[in-house]
Amino acid sequence: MQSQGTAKIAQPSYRFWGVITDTETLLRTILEEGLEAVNATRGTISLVDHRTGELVTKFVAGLGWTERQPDLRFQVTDAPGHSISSYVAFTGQPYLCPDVTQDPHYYPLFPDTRSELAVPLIGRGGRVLGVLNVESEKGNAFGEKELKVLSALASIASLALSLADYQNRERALVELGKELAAATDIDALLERVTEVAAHLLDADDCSLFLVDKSINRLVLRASRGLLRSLVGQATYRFGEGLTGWVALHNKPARLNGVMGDPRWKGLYLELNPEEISAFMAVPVRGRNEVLGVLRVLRKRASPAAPPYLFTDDEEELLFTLASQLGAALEREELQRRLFTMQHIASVGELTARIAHMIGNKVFAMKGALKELGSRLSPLPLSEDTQRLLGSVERSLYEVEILLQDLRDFVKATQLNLQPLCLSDLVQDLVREYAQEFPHITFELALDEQPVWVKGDAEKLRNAFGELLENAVHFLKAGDKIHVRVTVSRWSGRRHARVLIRDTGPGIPERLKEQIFQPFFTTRAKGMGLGLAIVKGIVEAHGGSIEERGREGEGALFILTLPAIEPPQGGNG
Amino acid sequence: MGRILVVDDEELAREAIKLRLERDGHQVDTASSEAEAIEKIRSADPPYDVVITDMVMESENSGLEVLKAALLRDVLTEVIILTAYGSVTNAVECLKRGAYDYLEKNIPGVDVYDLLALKVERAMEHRAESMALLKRLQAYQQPIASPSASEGHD
Repeated sequence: MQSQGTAKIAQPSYRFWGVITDTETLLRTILEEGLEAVNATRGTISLVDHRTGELVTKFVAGLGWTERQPDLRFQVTDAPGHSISSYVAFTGQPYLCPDVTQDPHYYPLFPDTRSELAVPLIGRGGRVLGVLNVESEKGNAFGEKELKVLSALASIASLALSLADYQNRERALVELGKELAAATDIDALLERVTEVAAHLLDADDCSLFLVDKSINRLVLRASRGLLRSLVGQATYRFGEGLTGWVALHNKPARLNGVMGDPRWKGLYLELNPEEISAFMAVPVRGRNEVLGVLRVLRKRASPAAPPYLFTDDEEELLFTLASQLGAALEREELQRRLFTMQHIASVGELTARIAHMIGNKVFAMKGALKELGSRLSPLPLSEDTQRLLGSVERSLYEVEILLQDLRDFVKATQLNLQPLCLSDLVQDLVREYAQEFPHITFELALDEQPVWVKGDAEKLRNAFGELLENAVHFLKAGDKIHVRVTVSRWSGRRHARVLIRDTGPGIPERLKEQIFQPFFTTRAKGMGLGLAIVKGIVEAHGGSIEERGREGEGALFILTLPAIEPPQGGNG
Repeated sequence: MGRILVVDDEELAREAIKLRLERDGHQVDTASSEAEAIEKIRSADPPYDVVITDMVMESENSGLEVLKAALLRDVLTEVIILTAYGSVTNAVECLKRGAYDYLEKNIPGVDVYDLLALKVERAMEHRAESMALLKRLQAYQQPIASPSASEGHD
């Protein structure tokens, strides 16, 4: 037979394993076992509400509690009179009180209480989760031995609380992972990420900014509260404000009372600045670059509430969320590209075959027409007949022009890459167009440092030429085309950007989606492959193109290409 | 003028080229496939002066096969390759293998039939020059070859 004392310690821990799946039952059991083990009259387990900075009595056991209402709230403080448990929650240290009548922290709840023992429940990173408190009608009822027993029980309780927390997070993460993998509507998904992040981190708001390469800025893509109406409009430059800082440095930022931080700019706020208790932002990382920033905020429960800070654990959690999102975004982008490439490839193959067949027929028709012409030449022909012959000839000519367009479209993605000076290429082209179209004013702005890219000179000339050609087509005398070549750097990479802005009618909002698609045109001539070819060429270079003008104010095309260092000894 | 073989699987194209070249006074045969062309080249006597062949017929390399057959029959036969959309790479290969020239069928705004007639004229001249050179070479070799050989024995 075991001695009574040993059995008391061994038995409870054995019993705990059976109920460990249910945190509430476990905590109740721990409290009851604790009372028995240290021979206490009654006890409580209180948990910290970090949001309000209060200690809330959650579980009670022992004599005298039945008629009383639990859920008592005490401010976590070292100021006297707020209860011994509150003091322990504040200091994070166990507290032995042999005589409550002499204790400044004691808060009287029961008239018969004489002595108290309280131990903190400490979570990861040293954060106080709650307090296990026992009391006795006897004075000086607790000593070192009782403290040890209670501390052991408290650490089991802490473990259970942490475990429950982890399980919650894991479930939410797995759930989100599934949603990310199955997502079809990217915007709904982004919103879901902010929801999950806010929920898991007990945050009052969460916003997601993603990098828009064409304008080199972070753009708000999803938010929950005040910022919701600014989705698609609120932007940060790289390095601007805390959000921009996170993107630029590819590092997390965690702050208490953000207003004091020199990086803080407060451009777009989910909450009023004085309401913000804590702020945390992490980069959304792709394989090679920062794709965006995910940020969370906590609101101050009241002006008196202590700051509710984000912990290391929580930072890690937000990182996990952000990296899940990063992987999903890259997959999405990859799929989109793959699809486009496959689409282009199959369209290309079909186009090539059809064009070949049509080309042969046209060749034969030209021959027959020529023969007809030569046979008719000795005869006197009426003007009408001559005009008919002429129009057949002209139509055949136009068919051959279309065939050329098709060929350019198919060949757009077959590149011969060489280092080349983009500044020179654009400059030459702008000069040529300025000479050819003297009724239009061409302006060119180049960086002092020449911009180099690895590219196919002929294809890039075609692409920029098409854009200028396109602009000229819609302009009238006195209009302007402004071309700017510059380099920007973000997430450690250099990007060449070419902006082509004109003062023409601009592109109607409803057409913006379509202009880069094959066979779309508002021009009378050609088959509308121009901008599709340009896009094909730019994307084959690993770049992007977008139209960002406003209807009525002119078109603005922005091209981005990966830049390279100018070669040694080059004109740089 | 010249004896010319026109090879194209497009009947209208064959006929148009034939008519155009006949106007310049050439004698023109036609073939509608790689196989027919090779057959006609082998049995031609005397060999054709110029062979004009489409690049892509039964296969991507039909033009190349016709070229080989023509040069096997007479190494001085001039071969002009016709290419429709997209077969320029193959045509360049033909040039490396001894074709005289190639011509794209669809050049907007260019009268390719006149251009072809012009190329045929040049090819005829080229062939005439080559034949003259060959004759001079033979004439040069013959009188010297046998006497020098007999002299060597003296």
